[in-house]
Amino acid sequence: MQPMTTERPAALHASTSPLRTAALPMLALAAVGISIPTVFPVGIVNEAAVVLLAVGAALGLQMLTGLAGQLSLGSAALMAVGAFTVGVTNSVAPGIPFVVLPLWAGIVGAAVGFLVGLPALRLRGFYLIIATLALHYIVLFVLQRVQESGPGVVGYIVQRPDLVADDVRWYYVLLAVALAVTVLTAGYKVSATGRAWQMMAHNEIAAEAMGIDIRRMKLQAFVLSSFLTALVGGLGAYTIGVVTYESYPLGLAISYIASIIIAGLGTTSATWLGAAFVIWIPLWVTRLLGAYGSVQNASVNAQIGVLIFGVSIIGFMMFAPGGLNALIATAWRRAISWVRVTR
Amino acid sequence: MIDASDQSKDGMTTAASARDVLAVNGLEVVYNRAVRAVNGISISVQAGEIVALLGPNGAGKTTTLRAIGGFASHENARIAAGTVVFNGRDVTRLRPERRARLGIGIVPESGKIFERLSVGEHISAMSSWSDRQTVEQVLSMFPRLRERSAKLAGLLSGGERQMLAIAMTLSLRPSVLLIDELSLGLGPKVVDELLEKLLQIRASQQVAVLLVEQNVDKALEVADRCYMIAGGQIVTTAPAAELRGRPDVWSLLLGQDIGHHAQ
Amino acid sequence: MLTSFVLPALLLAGLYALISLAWVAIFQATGAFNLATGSFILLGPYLVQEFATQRGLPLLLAIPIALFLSAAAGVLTYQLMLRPLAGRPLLAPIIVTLGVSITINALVQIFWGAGSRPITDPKVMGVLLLSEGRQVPILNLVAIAASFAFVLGVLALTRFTRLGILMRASAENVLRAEQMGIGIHRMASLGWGIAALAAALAGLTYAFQNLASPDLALLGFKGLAPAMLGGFQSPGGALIGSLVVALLETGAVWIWGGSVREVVPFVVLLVILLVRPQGLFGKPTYLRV
Repeated sequence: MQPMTTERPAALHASTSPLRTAALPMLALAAVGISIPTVFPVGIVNEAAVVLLAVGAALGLQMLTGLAGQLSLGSAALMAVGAFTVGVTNSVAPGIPFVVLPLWAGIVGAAVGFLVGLPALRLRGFYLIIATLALHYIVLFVLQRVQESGPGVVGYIVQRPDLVADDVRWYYVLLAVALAVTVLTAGYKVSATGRAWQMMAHNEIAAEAMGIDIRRMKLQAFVLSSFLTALVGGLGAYTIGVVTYESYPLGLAISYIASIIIAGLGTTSATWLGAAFVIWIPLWVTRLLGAYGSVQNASVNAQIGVLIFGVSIIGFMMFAPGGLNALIATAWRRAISWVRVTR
Repeated sequence: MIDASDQSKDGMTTAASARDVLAVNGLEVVYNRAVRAVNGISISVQAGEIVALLGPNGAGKTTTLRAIGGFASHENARIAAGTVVFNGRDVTRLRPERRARLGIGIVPESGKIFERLSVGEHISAMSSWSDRQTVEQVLSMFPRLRERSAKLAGLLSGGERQMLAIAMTLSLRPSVLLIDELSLGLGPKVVDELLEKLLQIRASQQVAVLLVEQNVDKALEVADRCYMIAGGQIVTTAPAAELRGRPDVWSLLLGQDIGHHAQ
Repeated sequence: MLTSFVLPALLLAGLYALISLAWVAIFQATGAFNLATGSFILLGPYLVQEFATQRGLPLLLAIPIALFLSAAAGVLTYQLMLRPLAGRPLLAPIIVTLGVSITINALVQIFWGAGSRPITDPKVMGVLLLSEGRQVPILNLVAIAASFAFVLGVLALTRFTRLGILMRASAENVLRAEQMGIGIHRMASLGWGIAALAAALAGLTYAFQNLASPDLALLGFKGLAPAMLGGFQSPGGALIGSLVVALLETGAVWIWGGSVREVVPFVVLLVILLVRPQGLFGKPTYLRV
């Protein structure tokens, strides 16, 4: 059984206080996050909101793939399940309070995760990722039928309640959720369950030999990760305002995988950077090219952004497998030792 | 008279003679940047010699062999110091494919062959990297392989696998044959048969043989000279004749009881 | 019956045979799960389009050029990106090929836009007239024949030629092959080249029927089902798997209409994974997990 990464998982290293080392970046992220609406116009705030959704989904994936080592392409399908739960429930029972729906979406997602997790217990690596790939298409097929038998092409309209109808306010809601998920993930990482996951990811047989109940750990990872992803999907429904199956292609799941790779498998705060990278690089390349470049039209510029994104994935995997997290950590260490030397 | 080791740590032994097919000087191999499995080993093998590398498990014999063949890196090991000189040429940095083509043949542990190919297909493959005459020569030494031509290599018996593995390596017309644990997992009669073949090979092809073996007794039967290795270093080197049938001396030299092999 | 079931099923089987060969060949050669297979499928028809329609070369010239370039893309991917990753865990080549696939797809859309383009009139080779006024474009028949011929040709190559033996040896045990002086990287490149070629041919076959469009990349994933059914161990198994999946898919479309076409291979895939992951012909051991 090959380990997921060549380095031992970060949490397995002896560390004085993992939570303390994680707290500083998280505070930084919170600070940056809070200040964005004060510095940037609403358009950017909305983009940041999308980034926050991606952070949530990516962190859910980090739990499953980064920590527990279960390769999965199912995050887009789970987001869709969450969004559709919100959309469908909202249309058949509009009276249900807003706060409940995303949680309900999460629960439905968790149930799906459980059902998927059971047979997935027998599959590993290569087989598992293909299975989740197949599930993606099957789930989307089902949701498409559901949508077509209901609202049709226009999809489910979902409206935020007045309290959070304002985009900036909604952004803060998402920020709070993203930070909460980050704290949750960091907490899991250092917990007994999290350590068990990482040992399992590193070497299943050895983990079992140490008394870890592999089946229970895997199921837990699936259920928890699915809950979070579907919850984020539900919130996504409110962010976009409409739910259609077309918003959840496989490319979305791929972008989440890319986020966690670029961030570094199993990292928490760095995942924010990974998600931001994946969402914003294509957007910004498009903008820069549109403003300064001689390239033709917007769609081509967008594709150039995607191109850069694709090349970055290759680059990271080949030259910086520890992701941005490793790069930043190394740079930080060098900076500190340089400061010490020049004192 | 057994001469106690005078191999210094930096491994530079008495001058490698011009008749050396293979000379290893001060080899040091490190695993995973931490474990020094081979700590200054120097060996020489001359044309037509059978030299045995003896020692207990984990002494560094196989690691040395792999380093000579160029396969240290496959086990996350690195040559930290020393050189491997083949026919006067420094091959330490050469890729394994190049070494194979130059004439360093390695027969790995447990008779590694291609399980999903038939014996006949192995023979066909041999013809592609060698010439008809050589293949014929090799096959005439192992007639049983021709009989088993249609059989899937994975289904051969232990002894037959080892024979096929040796035949494969021989077809490359190596000048030196590196053999790793020939007797592992095989019964004594089969081992005797294989050792007979080794002697035949040496007689007909003037191939130098470096034999890594845990079974000291059997190895000494065919070897001309031997090196005893323990803890990554050479403990002593002596003509095989002096050490034959003297398990008490082996234990003394290697610091542990390996006398039970002498049955 | 013939035109509504048998011929479409055969066309589809040929298509799947090529695509599953692309997956299996690379898996056999380097143990990698090549997520860029779909992109290689995509590349072929667009290249033909470029040379034939845009630059006015005759089809007979454009096709070989396109195929050659596709094969070269496969070899380059191996040499530049997979080869340096030898020894890294399974996830690394998967992600790298993912990056390659994103990159190629983006390049295709940059150079040729996101719309669909016809490559050529399906009737370009004429039609076969059947009873009751039904027509079968001869191009379809040629496509079926060409697909199976290619796959059977590769099978013959690996089974019966000396080169094929060396390829199989290298695929089974890279270390031992290296010790025998077999050029393992050349063997691996050959595997990737064949795979990319098969994928490009699949793309052409499909695009001749329909259009060259970015959706071609999805075909790559559908082709996993026949590969999985055959057990990922041999191109022969994949061939049989292709026939089975093609029959199932065509049958399902016949019964329930075209909308189920997209999902049938994935249902098959899931069932295989749950019931018998090693497929019909694979050994029940873990493959480089």
